[in-house]
Amino acid sequence: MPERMKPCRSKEDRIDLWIRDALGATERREIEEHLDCCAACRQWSADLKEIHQMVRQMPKTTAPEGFEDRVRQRLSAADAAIQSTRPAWRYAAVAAALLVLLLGTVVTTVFVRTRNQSDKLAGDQRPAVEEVQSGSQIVVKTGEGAREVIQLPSRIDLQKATSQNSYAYLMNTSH
Amino acid sequence: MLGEIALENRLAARAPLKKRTGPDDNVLIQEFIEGNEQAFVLIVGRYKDPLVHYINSIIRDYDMAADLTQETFIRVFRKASQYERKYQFSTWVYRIATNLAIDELRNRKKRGRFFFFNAFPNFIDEENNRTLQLADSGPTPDRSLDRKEASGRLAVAIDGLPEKYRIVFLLREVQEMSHQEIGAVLSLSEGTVKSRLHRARLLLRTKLEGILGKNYA
Repeated sequence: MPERMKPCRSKEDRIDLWIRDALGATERREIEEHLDCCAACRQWSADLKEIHQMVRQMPKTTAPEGFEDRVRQRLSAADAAIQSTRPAWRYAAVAAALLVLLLGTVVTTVFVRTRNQSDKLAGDQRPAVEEVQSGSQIVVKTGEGAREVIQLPSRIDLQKATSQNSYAYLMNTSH
Repeated sequence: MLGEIALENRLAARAPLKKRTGPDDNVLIQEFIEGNEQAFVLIVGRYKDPLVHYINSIIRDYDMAADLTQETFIRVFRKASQYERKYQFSTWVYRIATNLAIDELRNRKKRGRFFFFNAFPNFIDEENNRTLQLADSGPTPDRSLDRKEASGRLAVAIDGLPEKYRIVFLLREVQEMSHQEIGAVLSLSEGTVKSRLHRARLLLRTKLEGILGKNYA
């Protein structure tokens, strides 16, 4: 059996319409002239027309009897199901919203407090340690010409004690 | 029945002029949203048979096709108020139906079920009381047998097409939609629709080698 050739792609749309008798007179004449001189498109149009007719002759299935009633019943059942589930969803949504609100409040409060505390420490303008005396005592400048000697407890971290905010650190630690 | 005819007339007067006789789909959907029971009946009556046939031609399971057609209507009516009028109503309906049919095919693949060739084995299925009609009547017995065989071969060939080609082919040949309408239903460009259609036809032509040209039709 000879292999079937592919049709001209530029003519395919019109061949499709031609087999459905959906072309105007001019276009129909043009495509028929093309089919007269192009064997590939002629074969293609014949095959397409046959497939088209075969599809049209296939048995048509239709909806079963009482179809509308079944749709109506399912629609009513779906409505009823939505009605019955709606309150539960509403309660769940309200509970979730309240929970989010509560969590938000707690997180905000903790954040603000921590921020204030760290601002307070950072804002402490007192000067840093001036010198470390005999391992456990340090001298801190507390004002113009004023000095304060602090006895370090054993748990004090010397690194922190001699850092930028040492005064605030030591005050906190000593309490 | 009289009420239905009266509504058809009343709505037809309000509806824009369309090819189809009777009220426009958009008008019917609006009437349904407003609680008109007859609008529901008219929409279901208008689409039920084409949808059952279309879905059945994709999934080859009549009972499931009827079920999925019901589901299509449920979704249409439940979401009627969300229907965007930038598409034709039929496009929206077929999009829902196509998605349901594709889901069913994929679920079957997952479940490992075989495709049942049960849609066109016989022209009359008395056992299940299904209405199967030939497009024209009065063939001779021999010719009827040829047609039946050809239809069977065609159905098998269509079944054997890859899903993306099969659905485009069915929308074009069974539902007679334009390339543009098919593109709207499947969210594809017209170019892609034409390309898939071309591929589907080439494959079918190859599968039907030996039948084509023998004038079964």
